[in-house]
Amino acid sequence: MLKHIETYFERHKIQFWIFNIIVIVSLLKIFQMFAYPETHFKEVFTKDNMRFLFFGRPGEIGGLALTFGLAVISIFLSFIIGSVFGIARWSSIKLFKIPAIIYIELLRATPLLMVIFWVFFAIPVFSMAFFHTQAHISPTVAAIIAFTLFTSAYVAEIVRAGINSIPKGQFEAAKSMGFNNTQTFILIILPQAYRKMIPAFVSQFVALFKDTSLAYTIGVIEFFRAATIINNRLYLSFEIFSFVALVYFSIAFSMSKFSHMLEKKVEKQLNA
Amino acid sequence: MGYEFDWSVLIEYKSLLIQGLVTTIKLSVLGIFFSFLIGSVIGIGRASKNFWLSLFASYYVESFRNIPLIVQMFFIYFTFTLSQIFPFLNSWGNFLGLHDVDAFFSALIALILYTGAYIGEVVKAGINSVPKGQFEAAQSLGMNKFQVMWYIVYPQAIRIIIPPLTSQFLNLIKNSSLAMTLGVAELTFATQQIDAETFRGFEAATAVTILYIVLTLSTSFLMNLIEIKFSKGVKNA
Amino acid sequence: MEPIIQMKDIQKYYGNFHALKKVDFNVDKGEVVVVCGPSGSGKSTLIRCINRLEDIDSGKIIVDGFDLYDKKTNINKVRQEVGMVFQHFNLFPHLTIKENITIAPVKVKKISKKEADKLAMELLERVKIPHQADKYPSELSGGQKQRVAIARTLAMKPKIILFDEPTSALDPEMIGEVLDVMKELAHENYTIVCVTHEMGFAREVSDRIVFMDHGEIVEENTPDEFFNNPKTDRAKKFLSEILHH
Repeated sequence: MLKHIETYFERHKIQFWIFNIIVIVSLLKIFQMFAYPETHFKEVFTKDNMRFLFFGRPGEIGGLALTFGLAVISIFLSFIIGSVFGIARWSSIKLFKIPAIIYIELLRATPLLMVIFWVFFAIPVFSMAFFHTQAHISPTVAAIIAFTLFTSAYVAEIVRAGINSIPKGQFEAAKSMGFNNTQTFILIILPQAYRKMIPAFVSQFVALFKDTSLAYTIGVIEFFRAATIINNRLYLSFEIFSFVALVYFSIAFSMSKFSHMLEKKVEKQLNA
Repeated sequence: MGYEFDWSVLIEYKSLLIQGLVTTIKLSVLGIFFSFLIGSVIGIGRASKNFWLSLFASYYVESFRNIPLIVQMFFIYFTFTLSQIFPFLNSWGNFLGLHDVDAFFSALIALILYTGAYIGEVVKAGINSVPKGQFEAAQSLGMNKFQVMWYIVYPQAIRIIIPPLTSQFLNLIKNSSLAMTLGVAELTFATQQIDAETFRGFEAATAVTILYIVLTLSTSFLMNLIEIKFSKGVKNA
Repeated sequence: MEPIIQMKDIQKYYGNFHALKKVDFNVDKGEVVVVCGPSGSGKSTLIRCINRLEDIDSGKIIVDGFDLYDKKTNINKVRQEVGMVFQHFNLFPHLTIKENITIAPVKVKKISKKEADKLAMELLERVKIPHQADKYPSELSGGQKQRVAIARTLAMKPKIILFDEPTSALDPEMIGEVLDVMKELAHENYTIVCVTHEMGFAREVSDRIVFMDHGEIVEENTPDEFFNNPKTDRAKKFLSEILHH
């Protein structure tokens, strides 16, 4: 009988997902009944609280909107910087390769939290050392710089792996048609490589989206910090943090499922 | 005049740095050990041919992978008072020389559950990469499912698993820095402490970064040795 | 005496593909049966049903007196009596040759390591490669690997041995050494079901040839009758193609 259910789910995907949601919600409910019988969700879900969580304080961008903003800006900038370092890392010219290796390995060996602190501490120091003024930048800008630096190292590795994955035959075919090195690279190799890298990029974006929660530590009022501010006021941590977890989960999960679909489409295209 | 670097604070505050390092090591060692255990169980479940087992294992993996680690830490720390629910944690805390039992174990549990989910996928991929013929040969000799996994499949999977596993272990070491948000006095916390007292955050951050690099390099090195040991004689038949 | 393998009304589907169409197949104790036929005819599927490496959709299979699909039957115990030799050897790469042979007797049959080692060395002598005992599978040639695979199967002292195209993955010069071992086994008390393209072997040692095509048993006969006097057109076509290579 169980086997019939299996085959049914294989064919009817929507019913499968409905089943999954029902099971998970039931499991969570059972957990809640044991761990935390008296819930006060109503006090959390006020209009003001929700507005704060999703959009921040009136007059400034905060909350989930800021979370997305941080993630999008950082991924865009790190895409550019990471591509530069990634190509440099892949190239065989020592002048480019060695600095790239140092940059990438240094950033990848450091916890994101340390990068955030380091940027926060380093900016006044460097501005003093080079410009003789004590620069003060907003925590949000510092966070963006930190996220960009950190993610660019991982993007660089994705780019390097992507270029490496292009079969040598492509280089040879382009050369034999008369393209020089630069043309080969820009017109033939990079387009293919970047298409292959899309799933990895999306996955990196999802990771960055989750990591924006770390901006909490330098005072950026994004989604997570907004939640902790409400928690400091209401002390209803089960309700608040389970809601936060649910929101992050829904967004991150949907994005990675979307990425899977993309991956399948890309695979079909490239296996021509 | 530019900024005057004062590296001597590092020597003055070296006990803070060392304490931070030790706490990070405690979190990392315990975290690595238990997340590997959980990850192996989940991974074997994920790779299982039983649809339901695989499905429930995937519930675990997707849940813990898609929620930020810091959220998991806060949820556990603020919702439950671990030392009340599990009094034995107090004696463990004494044994480990911990100051804040609740914070340490909340962070540790979240770290284990989070990393365990990622390791689960790594283990699944490793088991799936063992050729089907190995299962079949073991089964045809009369071995039951546990014997097949324990004597034949898992030993072969481990060799393949080690590089991505190492990467997850390194992630765990880096992620341990999040424990500072609960007040656990590990390395990153030490950076802030030194800065708070001396305003020499830059020097402190540099020193701490170097320490993290030392930690990650040593772990990579150790895992490399382990990989070599497991590769002795394991070639494809 | 009841046949040691009884398969009745076997139906098997892979999705929409009908792999086995209402097959009846019996083997007597001590018989040597060769199953042949074109690719996709279902011959490998058929013998893999005998030790339940494949599951059937309907029908009844009784092996050594045990109904394979009875809930009370312990399939692992049945498999101790049914050995299998695979096309791609499937030796355990992380164990030495000797360990490959001893692991099942020690862990499954619970015999002592000392006894198992002795048994392993006897079997390695028998297949003529005792000096390889402490090497790893990757250091052996294909023919040697297959002989080890046979020794590994024999170590469990099974009543039935299934061969799934044992020589198809071997270089031509190594086929002979494996067939020699198989011929010896054929003359002993083992019940053997062998899927193979080696018609010379089939002619020499088998008691019965079973020809399959498109999931059905098309013709069954003694080797002499089958090779000299094929009755069906499909069998004739198959023989003409295979014997002209």
